[in-house]
Amino acid sequence: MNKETKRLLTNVLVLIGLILVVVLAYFYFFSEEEDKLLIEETEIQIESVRTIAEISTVSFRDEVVMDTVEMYDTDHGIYDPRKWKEWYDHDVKRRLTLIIKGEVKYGFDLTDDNYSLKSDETTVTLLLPAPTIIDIIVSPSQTEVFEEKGKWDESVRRNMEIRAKKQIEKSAKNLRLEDKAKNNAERLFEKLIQTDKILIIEFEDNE
Amino acid sequence: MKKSILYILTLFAFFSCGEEKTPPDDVYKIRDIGHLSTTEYTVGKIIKVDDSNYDVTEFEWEDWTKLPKVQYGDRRILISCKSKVKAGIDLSKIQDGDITVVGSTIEIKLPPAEITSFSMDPRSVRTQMEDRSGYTDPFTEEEKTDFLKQGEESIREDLNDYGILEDANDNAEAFLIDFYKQLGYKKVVVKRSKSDDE
Repeated sequence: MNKETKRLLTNVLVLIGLILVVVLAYFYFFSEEEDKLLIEETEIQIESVRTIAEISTVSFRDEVVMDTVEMYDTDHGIYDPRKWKEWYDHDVKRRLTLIIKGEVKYGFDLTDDNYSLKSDETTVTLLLPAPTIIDIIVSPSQTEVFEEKGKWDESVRRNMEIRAKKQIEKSAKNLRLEDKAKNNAERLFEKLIQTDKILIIEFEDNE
Repeated sequence: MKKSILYILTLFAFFSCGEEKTPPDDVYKIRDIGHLSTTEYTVGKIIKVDDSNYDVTEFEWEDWTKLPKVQYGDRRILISCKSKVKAGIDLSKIQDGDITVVGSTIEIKLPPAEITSFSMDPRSVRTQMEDRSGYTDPFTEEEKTDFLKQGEESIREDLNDYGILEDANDNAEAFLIDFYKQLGYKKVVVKRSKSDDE
């Protein structure tokens, strides 16, 4: 192998090495796939199993934005380099913004035979309890962390979620969905009770 | 000159129309449902995450583009949570032909049981242990939310193995038999449909 061939081979190898480094660096720094952390498999603990009979007839979905901000308590310091970060951040020191979706279900709790059904020669009478909130559902899969700046204590986030849950419940109560729950229950039981007799569906009064 | 002013005004009008519309703060939706929930499970789970250094033995040449990130330290977290899961049947899926009455016998074909509600009370979510070493960042709320989402998925899968849907079917059958017997039917036949999860 002469000197020229040796030099050519070295150059080619160096070039291949450089290309390899560039490709690896690209995938390392610009790879779109995030290294998602996965939870380990752990057993669930069943704490209780209950037999229920709840009929939900109306669902109300809501989405609320919960925002917590902590501002710098000092003045703008545009001439002070130590305060440029505060100026750049528009005085926002920490911020946590959550978008929380929830669902409220209205219906009837018929657990422990909490209803009565009477039938005579001409009529069938079904007496149901007053409609009530059966479920207020908030789950992690429906929660989005929209903005997170700075370190936050877990209790702050927990309080935000609790407040969001209460807000969703309040919105549902303001809509007065009890009548809609009753109408839907009537439709549902008319389908279930197939009879030639006159069907009367009554509801207990709210407390 | 007049043309220039016209151009400027047109441009101004064009850009002023492009204002971004923001959605209202609260977006809500009301819909009619017909769920009969017959079983309620209260489930606890410990969510365990170990973000230790990359294990070289896990490297696979097929995924050579997924290079291990350099990490100077470990992170570990244990989160405990509690969920309330209800299962039952969707009565609104019952079709006209699914209920047949012959004399004093009623036959009803039920749709497959399903999870009707899954809720995780924020009060029940607690970080029991969080540990980190070296130059690692603490776990962010976004990461914790993602762990809880994975935990929720895991609980749903595990509950299927524990037979929540089977329980829901049994209880729905018992409820309907009792209901129709009160109506005066002597014989109640409940036919079940199986879901893909069962």
